[in-house]
Amino acid sequence: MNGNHTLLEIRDLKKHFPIRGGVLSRVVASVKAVDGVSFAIRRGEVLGLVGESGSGKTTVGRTLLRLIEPTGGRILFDGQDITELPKNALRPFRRRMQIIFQDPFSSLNPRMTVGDIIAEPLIIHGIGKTPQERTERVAELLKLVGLSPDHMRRYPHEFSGGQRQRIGIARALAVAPDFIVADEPVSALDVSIQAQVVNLLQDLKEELGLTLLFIAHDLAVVEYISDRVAVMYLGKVMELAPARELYRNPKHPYTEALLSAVPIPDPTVKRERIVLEGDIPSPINPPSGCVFRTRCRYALPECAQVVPELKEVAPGHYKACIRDDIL
Amino acid sequence: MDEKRLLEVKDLKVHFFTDDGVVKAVDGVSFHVDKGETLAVVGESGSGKSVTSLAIMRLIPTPPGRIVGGEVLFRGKDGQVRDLTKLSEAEMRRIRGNDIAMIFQEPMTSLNPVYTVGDQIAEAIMLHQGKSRKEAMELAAHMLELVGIPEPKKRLGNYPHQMSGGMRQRVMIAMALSCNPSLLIADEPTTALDVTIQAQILELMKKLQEEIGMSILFITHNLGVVAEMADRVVVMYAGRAVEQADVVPLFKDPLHPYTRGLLHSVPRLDLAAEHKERLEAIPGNVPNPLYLPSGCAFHPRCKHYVEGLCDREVPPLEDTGDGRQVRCVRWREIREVRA
Amino acid sequence: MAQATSLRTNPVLQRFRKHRLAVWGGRILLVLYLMAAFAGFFSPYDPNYYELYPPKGNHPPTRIHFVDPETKRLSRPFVYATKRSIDPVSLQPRYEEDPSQGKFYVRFFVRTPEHPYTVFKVFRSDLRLFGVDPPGRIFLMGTDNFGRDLFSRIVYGGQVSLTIGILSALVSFALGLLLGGIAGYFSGRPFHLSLPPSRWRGLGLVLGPLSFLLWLGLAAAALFLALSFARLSPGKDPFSLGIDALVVLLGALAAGAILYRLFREPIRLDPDDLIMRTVEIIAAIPSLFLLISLRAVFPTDVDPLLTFYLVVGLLGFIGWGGLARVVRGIVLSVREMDYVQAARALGASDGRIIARHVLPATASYVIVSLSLTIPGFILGESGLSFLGLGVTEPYTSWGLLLQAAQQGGFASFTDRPWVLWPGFFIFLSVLSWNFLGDGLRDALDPRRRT
Repeated sequence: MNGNHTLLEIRDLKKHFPIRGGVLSRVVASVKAVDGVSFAIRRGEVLGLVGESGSGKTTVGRTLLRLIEPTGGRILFDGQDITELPKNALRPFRRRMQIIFQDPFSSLNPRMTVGDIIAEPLIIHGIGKTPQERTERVAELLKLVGLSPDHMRRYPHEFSGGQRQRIGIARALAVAPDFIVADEPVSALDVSIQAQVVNLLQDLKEELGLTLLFIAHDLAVVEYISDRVAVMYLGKVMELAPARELYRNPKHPYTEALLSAVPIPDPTVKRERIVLEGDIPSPINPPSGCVFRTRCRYALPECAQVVPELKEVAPGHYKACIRDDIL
Repeated sequence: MDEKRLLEVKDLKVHFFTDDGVVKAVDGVSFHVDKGETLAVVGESGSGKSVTSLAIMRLIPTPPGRIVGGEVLFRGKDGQVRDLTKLSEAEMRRIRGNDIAMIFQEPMTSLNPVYTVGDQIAEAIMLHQGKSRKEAMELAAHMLELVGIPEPKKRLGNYPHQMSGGMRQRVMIAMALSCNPSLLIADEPTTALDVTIQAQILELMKKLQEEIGMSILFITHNLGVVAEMADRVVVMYAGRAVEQADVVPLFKDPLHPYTRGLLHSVPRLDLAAEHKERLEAIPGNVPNPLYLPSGCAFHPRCKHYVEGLCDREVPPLEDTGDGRQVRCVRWREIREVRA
Repeated sequence: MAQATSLRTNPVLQRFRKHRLAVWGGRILLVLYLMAAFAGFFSPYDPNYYELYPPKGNHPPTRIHFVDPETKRLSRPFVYATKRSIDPVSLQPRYEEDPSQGKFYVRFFVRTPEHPYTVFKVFRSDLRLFGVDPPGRIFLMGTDNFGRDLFSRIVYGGQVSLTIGILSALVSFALGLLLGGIAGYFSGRPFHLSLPPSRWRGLGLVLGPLSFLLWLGLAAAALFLALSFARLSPGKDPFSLGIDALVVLLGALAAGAILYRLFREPIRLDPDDLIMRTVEIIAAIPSLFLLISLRAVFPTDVDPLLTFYLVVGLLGFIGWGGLARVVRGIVLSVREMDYVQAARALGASDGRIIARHVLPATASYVIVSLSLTIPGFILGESGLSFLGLGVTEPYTSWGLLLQAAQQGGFASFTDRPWVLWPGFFIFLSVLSWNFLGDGLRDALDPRRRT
């Protein structure tokens, strides 16, 4: 990938959460939430990150923002390694990287007015010297996300889920960031509201030239907004490809099964469905070799031995699977 | 009631009397479920779809809620038709679990964490079928096998927290079906599950319906799931049914502007790439049930809204002549324009 | 759902207003605290004033007349002076009205230059709300056995009884909030008590060696203790020699363990563990026993009121554990909320996050808990005074007044029922606080929010 255009890159990112047990609370095991994930996001690009619960997609998002400290690997933002930057040195980067949360109810402090919530980042980073300047900026941001400046004095509980999500987006935009992690921003919303928020994010991306990491479990939503999509399973990236390519021509057995599992809102469409057997294995004790092999219908004995590398199988299309003879 | 009818809900009204005012959660909903069929009730949050299902089971938290009107006619296993809203609590308990069973969205909270899975299934069986504990446990193991849980005998001794979300939902289904109910109410049974697990559960429900022949009342907001599971569909918005039709005509030719909007706002995997530039969103917000818009509750968000027509009176649920119903005064014009 | 709610229609206030008992509780408390604050103004007499002759001991409440007995018409309220006699059977004093001395009208805003008082120990005044001219007397609630006006004593006693609860509750709440907050917020972020030499960099260059000195001192102390034990124990028989060897071995082991740990990895301490273990230890202290011993320790020549405040303050000092535990729990859960994560992602400092996001989340619990804890302390005061551990003469409190009331046995209640008035005030204030707390809980409880 062209280094000049890469805004964010993670290399072999790992996050293992220790599990303590016993009287002395020693580390007895660890949850390998993220286990060696690498990708790069170009400036102005939307990378979709898809996976089921327990795949580690949310942990990736939080770790690359250093909200969670990584166990291993490197995070590079705009060419600079921010993996081990101390708190103070990280502050200028906090202004450039933001996050939008899934739950519009817990992501806004219920005891603050909408105006105070959106003004907080301005105060923290000293944007807008006087309260008037800040109020103006807050009004501007509210308009930007499709709310009215009159909403400033109200409290979050007076708003519906979709409106709260807009407030959360306005807070993230307050510091004029380059890069935003959107952590399942629509999955808690009603169907008719989801489309509004996806469209808003698309508009903002165009208008402000944002770079997005769009995390979701809903494959269909991701397709609409993403340029490229990465599919995660059990802490690892299984497949990474341009969005169209991935949906039309999935190369990894997991992606194939995942796509076929999504019910299509058309009763006349009859497809062959690949129903995956069993549950996602525990990330405390993931299968050896390829983590997907226990549920894979193409699995061979070798799959238990080798951890497959994420390798390019077509231009820009990467997959982590030793079988090149399928799909 | 018609011989093939299992359940008929007539003009059901459930209101919640809160400190802030009366919430008309369900305000005049009518539909029926035939034997062996799957009826899907679709709606967003606040549409009243879950309250409807709870009202059928008479599980509305009272106070603040109350069934203030309507009938819920149900044909029991004995062939007798009863109005469930008029039954005593003791009679209702005999119906629940035995004639009508229910599964919920959150399989973690609907199982008791301090009892083993086997104990919980066996309890239901002992309660309704008067079997001994040993027989009940055997039947429970059989049910677990039926819902595709490996090593069912061993799993009986497990506690809910030892199982995954998908497994717990299977246990819930096993428990619901253990007394051979004629109606299964499934309230968003797959919403909390991952897609691959959702696919498993949907397959399982279809298989079991074929084998056992029960009717399913499927409550969901997911149109993909509706398309896959339902024979007929009721679309609800703000406490009222706005459209009712067989599943294919509903998806092919939605009559109500809300149904149309809903179908268009859903991102779809099966469309060709050129249609995927932008989603068609329904503008505005889901209305606050305390302050419903006048007239047709959907009018502030509707692109076919006509002032003075839509915002005056609640439109009646009209029969369209081809076995469908729609609650919109302009449905004929809208249909013509499209054709 | 964007229906406007401004400050005028604050939902918390509205819900509180709906709780009528709580509103009444609040009003009663307001009156009681105002009376205690301006005790001199509200009481007609100095609480310690009594007459030697004629004695007024155990005087019943003065009857206030509204109808002139001569004209049978309504008149300004007045009282008669009383005449004292001794009941020949019970030998108890009896008081009879003596109209011959004339009527003594009840006057408002009277000045009593012979009995001045101070407000908050600063402003001198002699203005009183009501009174009658001497030699008439107005005893609204009778007198005690010395002839002191019970109403005035109750008003003054409220100063102690009503504030003692607030004082100790504030002490314990300040500590509970601070320590519970620290335990919750910094849980899982242990601080270093030592640094291995490999990490002596920057500030560690100073702190590292310093911490080493401390730990080396500890190791030396362990060895020294063990050796002293061996040196001091007189026995020469094999058994005690064995014990000596064992102790020395243990000491050496402890010192060795410290040194081993010191050089290998940093010694770390989770503030959550430290604080919560302290809470558990404090919870095991029997508080009544502690109170009695503390009371005995303080010298008798110190002002008894000051001693009492100190002792109860100390009660608050050990009473913070329960609150700290709850606050820790709240903070632990709030810490994981997305809005705290959002603030972190914005680069907010720990101080800002605690002040803006974490502490306000505990506010409703703290307010409710405070209003339910204070009545406990009011009852505690009366209990302590009853045991003679509380306020002592010449100061007064409701508990002390009640204790004085029961001197004289059962007869005192039948012959002089007015001595039970302090009990009524305790009852009223405790009930009011509880109602207020109940109302606040209902108004602030987020689970009721829709």
